[in-house]
Amino acid sequence: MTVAAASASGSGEGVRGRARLLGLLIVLIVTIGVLSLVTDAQGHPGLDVFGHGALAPELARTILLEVRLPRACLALLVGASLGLAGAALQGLTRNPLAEPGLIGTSTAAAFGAVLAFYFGLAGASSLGLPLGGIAGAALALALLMRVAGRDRPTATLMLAGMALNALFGALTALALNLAPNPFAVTEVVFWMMGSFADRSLAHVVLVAPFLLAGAVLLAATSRGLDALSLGEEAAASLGVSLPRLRLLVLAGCGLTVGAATSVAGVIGFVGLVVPHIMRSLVGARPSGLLLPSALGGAVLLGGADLLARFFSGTTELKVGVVTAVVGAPFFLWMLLSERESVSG
Amino acid sequence: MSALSVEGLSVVRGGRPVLSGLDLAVGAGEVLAVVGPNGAGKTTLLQAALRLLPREGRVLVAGRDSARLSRRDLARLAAYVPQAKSVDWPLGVEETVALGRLPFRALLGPPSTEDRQAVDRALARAACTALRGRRVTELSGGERTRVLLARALASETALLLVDEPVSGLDPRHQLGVMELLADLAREGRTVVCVLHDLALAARFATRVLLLNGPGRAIVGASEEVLAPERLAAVYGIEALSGSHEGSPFILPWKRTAQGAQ
Repeated sequence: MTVAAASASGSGEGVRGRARLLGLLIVLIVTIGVLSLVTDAQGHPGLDVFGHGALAPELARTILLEVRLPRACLALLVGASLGLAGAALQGLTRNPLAEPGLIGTSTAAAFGAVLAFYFGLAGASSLGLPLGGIAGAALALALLMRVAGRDRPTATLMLAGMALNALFGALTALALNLAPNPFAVTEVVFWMMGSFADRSLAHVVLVAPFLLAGAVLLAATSRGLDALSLGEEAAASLGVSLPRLRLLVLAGCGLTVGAATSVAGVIGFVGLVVPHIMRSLVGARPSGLLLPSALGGAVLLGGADLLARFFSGTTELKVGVVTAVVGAPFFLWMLLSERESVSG
Repeated sequence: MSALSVEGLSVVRGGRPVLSGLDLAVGAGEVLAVVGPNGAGKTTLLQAALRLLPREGRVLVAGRDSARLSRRDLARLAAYVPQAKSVDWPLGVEETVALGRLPFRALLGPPSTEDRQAVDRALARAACTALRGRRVTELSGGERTRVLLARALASETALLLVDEPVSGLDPRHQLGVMELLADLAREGRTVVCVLHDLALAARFATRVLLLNGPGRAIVGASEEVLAPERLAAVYGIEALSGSHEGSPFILPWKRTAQGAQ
């Protein structure tokens, strides 16, 4: 905890500790990116995609640019988005238990994708699913903005998010319930588990603008989130417009998480765990958590996608399953070991 | 020119008028204690002055109409310490005090030399320098109150609005906080301080504002405003009063048979 304590006091050592951590995270991201490019869907590493194997150069190039690269980009981008959105939402709610799924846009995106499946859009175009997801997320975000536009307290906004979660979750269940054939149901359920397999560069190009726009909105909240640590009244007295801050965080989270879910399916735990880990490493100031959480999210999800590949044989192990199966026990262990240090 | 000037201030909360047509002028170097029974509108007055609540009437801060100032410009003129003394995250003490510099800082970039100096001055002024490496969540109530005061001091505003700064503190810490506020006023700042403790109000305030429901506000010297017959009428209490070392004192003694009017 020396790094955290030093950064809490804002000393030079804390600044250097933070810079070291950011540097380490960037090195990890690059490493994971490279590993991701040289690892096949079953976890076998090899340089054949760079023309050092039995693969014909044409095929190697196709695999590299149209299979591995989109997969690596999406895992890192979606991970960064979820980490960033989680950190911002925890800052807004002043609650370390908040996670980006709370505001309903991920469930709505999943529902939109399910509808795309249902009406055969997924079969018509590889972008049918993400487009359906984006439409669903946009609908949920529009509803949420309508509530937020009337200057409601943050708790009301979170309740509205829960209601949207319940509504779109139920609609998804309804769609599955009425699905004409069991094959479609299986496919939808598998899709919802979250994966980066079989995505193309078109997927990256489709969601990157939403992820980027959301990240810009969230970056603009840093000052307001810091002030909010002192409570809403103190924050307002420091010049922060609370309605504007709420709108920015919700819109930013909605854009990033909605787009992320549209392309990757539902991926839990990243947005919850990453800010939590980063808080213990760089201190709790909400603005200071945004960048490390984004980088940490990329590392975690990029790593989880590699792990999922290593454990995939004939059946693909979904990355959303990996983050939950590895993430939940890890989070529990972290909470247990933390309790000792806090009470001691 | 008054540091804070309130003209015809009215606030309705939940359909109920809390303040009605309040006029008030507080000058530089004053400690104005705001007292009154629970629900009389003490906190409402501070929040309305800072435009944290919908209100009617005019509030001038350093002669400028607060309704025409941006939130940020207003934050550069008046600092506020709310009643809630909690900090949601385990922030460092220095980090917390530095939040007082937010209205002066650019959106991006590190704090300026001036920001850092203001934080150092605020820490020293509130006797928090020794706490600077610690976390606010690990501090005692007295220490945390001082740190949150230092946070407001870091804004280096001429006007300081403080809501119940001594609640939950032992007598020595209560006196420490009040002496600090009185010192700040002697240096030329203006302090408006909500207090429940009438003894501290009488001892430290240059003037007292007694709120007792909409349209019933009295402001003046503490001997006059906190006179025994008025305390009997407003609070329904009998109080001992006198003076010691040239300052008035008040000691609430017992409830009166007829209660507040």
